[in-house]
Amino acid sequence: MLSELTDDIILNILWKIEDDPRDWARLSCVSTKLNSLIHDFCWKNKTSLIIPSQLLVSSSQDHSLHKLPFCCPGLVHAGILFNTADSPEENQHQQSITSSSSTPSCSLVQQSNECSTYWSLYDDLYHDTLYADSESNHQQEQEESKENTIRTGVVDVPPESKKIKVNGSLSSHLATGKWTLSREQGSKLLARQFRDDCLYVCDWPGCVHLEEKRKYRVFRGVFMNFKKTRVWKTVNDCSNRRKIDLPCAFCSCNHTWDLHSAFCLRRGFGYHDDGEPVVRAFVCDNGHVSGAWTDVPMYT
Amino acid sequence: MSKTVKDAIETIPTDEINSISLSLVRSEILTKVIEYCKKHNSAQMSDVDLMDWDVEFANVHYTTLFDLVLSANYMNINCLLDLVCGKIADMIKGKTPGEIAKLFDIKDVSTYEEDN
Repeated sequence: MLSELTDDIILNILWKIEDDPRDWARLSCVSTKLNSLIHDFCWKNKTSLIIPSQLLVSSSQDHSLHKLPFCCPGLVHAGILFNTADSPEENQHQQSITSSSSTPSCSLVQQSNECSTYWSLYDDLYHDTLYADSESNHQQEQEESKENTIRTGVVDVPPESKKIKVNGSLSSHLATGKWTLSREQGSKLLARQFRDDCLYVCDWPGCVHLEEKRKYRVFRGVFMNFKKTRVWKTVNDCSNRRKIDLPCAFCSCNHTWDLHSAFCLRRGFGYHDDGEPVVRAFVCDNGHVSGAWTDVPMYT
Repeated sequence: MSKTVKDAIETIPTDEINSISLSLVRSEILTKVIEYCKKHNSAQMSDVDLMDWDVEFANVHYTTLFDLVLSANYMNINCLLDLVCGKIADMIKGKTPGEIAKLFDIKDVSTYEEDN
């Protein structure tokens, strides 16, 4: 029945569902005709309104730029749940997140080849549903193993009190807040010596996540011509200790660089009493940035 | 209300007009289109009532909706086209790719590629 409709009729319908980018993402997985119409007309028009033109021109082949304005990386990819001094349980928890997120996308990609190069937020929504199930299974396994083993010299704290109680999605999801990117937001993040690097970050406040401990304003962004930036030179020249196994939310990079410990972020943000940094940001090899702001502690 | 009909009337000499051919529109769909045009041309209903009437009018099986959208496009009736496209859009919102494929009767992506 779709083949009977002319392109202009289909476009008329597509423009009526532009409010939620997930609908376009799902539709583009349905057929090649819809995929080309959405990609060539809808996304192009939409991104030209929210992404600065110089960034669009320099990243014309980067399909992840279609995802970045709308997709919050979530607590996982913003590194909030990733702790370099974490316990074995939290390591396992992190691994279970990344492994559960990779499996469903394979089965969804098999639906149509177009999906492998064209992102669908449907994939991320599917991940969220599966993650909820896998998390509850993992908690069960943890409890069972704790009953069986007695470890000497270690205080066994119940997992519930150690885990951060989370509201909303842990992995990537449709971002709340503004979907526009600006260089001004990016420049607020970087240290002075990197002021010539063009970092575009979503407008304030990003996607706000209210957690038990504190409020996180999760942001996403991208460097223009990342491999020519001073930030890239800095993270690349330094030793591999700043490269971490935190996958990018926007492309297939399996690791990212911690901009905070590479001294790329503006000085003076400081830390909370529990050692958590006030601002954190991670960048992948393609220049995609995920991170989070927290409120500056009132009493230091 | 139909620009196609209006253009036909304006181009064909008045004394030669007996009928205007609308070969791409089936009679039962044309009946519905005429019903829509009559309702929107009459000054009897308030805007709110007309909107409610539109909602009821567009509450039909999706095959009828597709016929209506093609007819409205062919006959160049913009308000009807908008109404029906909006209804189809509402049916798509929030559905998974599988559900949309079923709605649009796309059985197999590879088959669809061959057709195009």
